[in-house]
Amino acid sequence: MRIRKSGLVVAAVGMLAIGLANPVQADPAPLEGSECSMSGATRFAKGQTFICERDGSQLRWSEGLRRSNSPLEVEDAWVKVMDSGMTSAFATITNPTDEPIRIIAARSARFTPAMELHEVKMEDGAMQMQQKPGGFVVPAGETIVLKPGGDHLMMMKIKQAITAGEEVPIRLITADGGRVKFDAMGRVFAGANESYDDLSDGMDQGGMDMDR
Amino acid sequence: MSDHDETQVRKVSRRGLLTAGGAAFAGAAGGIVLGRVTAPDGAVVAAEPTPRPQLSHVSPAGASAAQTIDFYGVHQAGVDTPEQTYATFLGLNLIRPSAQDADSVLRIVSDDAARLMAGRPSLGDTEPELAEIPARLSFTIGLGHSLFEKTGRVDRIPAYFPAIPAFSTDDLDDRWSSTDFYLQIASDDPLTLAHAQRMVVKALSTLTTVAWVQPGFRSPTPANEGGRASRNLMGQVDGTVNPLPGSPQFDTAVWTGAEPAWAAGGTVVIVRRIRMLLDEWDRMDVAAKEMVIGRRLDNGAPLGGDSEEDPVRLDVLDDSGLPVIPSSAHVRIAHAESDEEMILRRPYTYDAGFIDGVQDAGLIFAAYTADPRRSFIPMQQRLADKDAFNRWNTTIGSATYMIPPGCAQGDYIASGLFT
Repeated sequence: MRIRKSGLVVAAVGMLAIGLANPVQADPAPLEGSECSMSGATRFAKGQTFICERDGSQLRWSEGLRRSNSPLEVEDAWVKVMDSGMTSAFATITNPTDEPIRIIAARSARFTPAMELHEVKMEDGAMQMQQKPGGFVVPAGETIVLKPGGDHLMMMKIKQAITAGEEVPIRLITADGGRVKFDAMGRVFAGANESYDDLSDGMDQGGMDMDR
Repeated sequence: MSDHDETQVRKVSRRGLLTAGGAAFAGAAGGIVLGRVTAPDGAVVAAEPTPRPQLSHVSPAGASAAQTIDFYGVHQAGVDTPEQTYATFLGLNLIRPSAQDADSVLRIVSDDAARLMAGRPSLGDTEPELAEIPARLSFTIGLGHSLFEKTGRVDRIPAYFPAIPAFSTDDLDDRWSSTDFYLQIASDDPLTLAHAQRMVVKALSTLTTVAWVQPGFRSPTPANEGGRASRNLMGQVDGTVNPLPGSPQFDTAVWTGAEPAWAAGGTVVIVRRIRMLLDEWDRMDVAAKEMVIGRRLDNGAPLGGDSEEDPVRLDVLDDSGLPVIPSSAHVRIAHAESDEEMILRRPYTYDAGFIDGVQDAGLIFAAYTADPRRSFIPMQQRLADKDAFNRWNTTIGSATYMIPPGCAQGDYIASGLFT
């Protein structure tokens, strides 16, 4: 049922109706290469994880990544409280292995249809947030810190308010299909308001106001 | 400057760092003058080779800068913790009467407390550097009667957590009265304390409002000496007869019993704001003051005794047949007859400036007890009836809270109570 529900999140309304009408129907044909609607959306199907990625001017589902447990260790995770629109999540991530690990997606199905991996860059004299090409690499044996003003997880079009003290479950997905789950605590935070470049992929309206 | 002098300065500098603790002191090293160092708190620390200064002159924050107190444990910190030099008491009220919000408050405060007490920044800490010198930072979290009422949990209130009556000598101002939540935040470093307070109040800003804040201070007690009675602004040595942390007497007097289970190992705190009428007190000579208190002012010894630790002997008569400790003396009236009657006094001095030219100063009297019905209430009733001190002290604020027990790592204070 989890697979079905999460699939519905990113599906069009028509598909949703079909899904409800046929709750036990197997997932439709392979997702890989088919169009999707929100950059950073993820879908679990048949033991595999698919990620909605840009392919030229289109958004398409990635190839399926076989799911496994990632050895990444996550602590000090929190998310900026927000009523609606988008918000950011932060954490300290350690790679205890002797190989670098690349994080390519994140997921919090209860709270958002899509998450993106962002960086903050100085462009034309202004700090800009944008998707980080290739995601976040955690070098072997090292720790990276996602923090305001730096790399962070962007939660798009949140489905419900994230309140102070709330535990928001998040999964990170690595390039080899590894997953690590953690809870991020809702925290009041005045910062993390940097301007954005064009994030129009799948973002029709709203969700851009980071000032509250 | 000769080589010798340079050596001297280096020694001083190193000593200063050892005394005041790390980075906080580095900036002050420039203040070296003629072999003397001014510590961050303004205390002068003598340079070698002069003899080691008296412990009471050593900056307590310096001595304890790196010292941490565990947040996790059977009991909450800040009760049996030797008194830190600074404490701020806060009363907070929920914005919405929501059990879920109450639970969130406890999660957030517990998380912040655990991190900050360990010398680590809170989540989303905007000034993480200010968390680096814990200096025995402690958080103590309490729950007021109104919180149980607002969240429909009056049936969870322990019998030993009654409302505290107003006493005849009280002149209570509602602005200091009980609130939904209580925080006692204490540290030997006032900047660390201010930062911790700001972080947690900010983190709770969508859930609670601050009803009152009472900052307090006491004489520095070198951390390695443990807790010690401190003087208040009347010159009185206060807290001498406290139960000793870790003793069976302390366990009986302070920590609550097995029922109800959620509150076992907690305590009850009564926070009274006592304004001292210092200008009136000044009119008394020392002997008269000692008769009021029942102790000597110079060394805290009970009248008829020689040192502070001597037992208070109420039955000793003087040559004329009168009690050496007068019948209305404070120590006589406050005297506990049994462990059950004892309270833990954890008072701090406040100095809030002047009101119409009269100093507004006194005591934030935090009393911790396992059951105020058998300890604090009867004692305070006796004090209201007879205590000679009443002429110079007026209680202007009173608040009472249940202090839940501590929690294990990964858990939070009073988890489950509001879920």
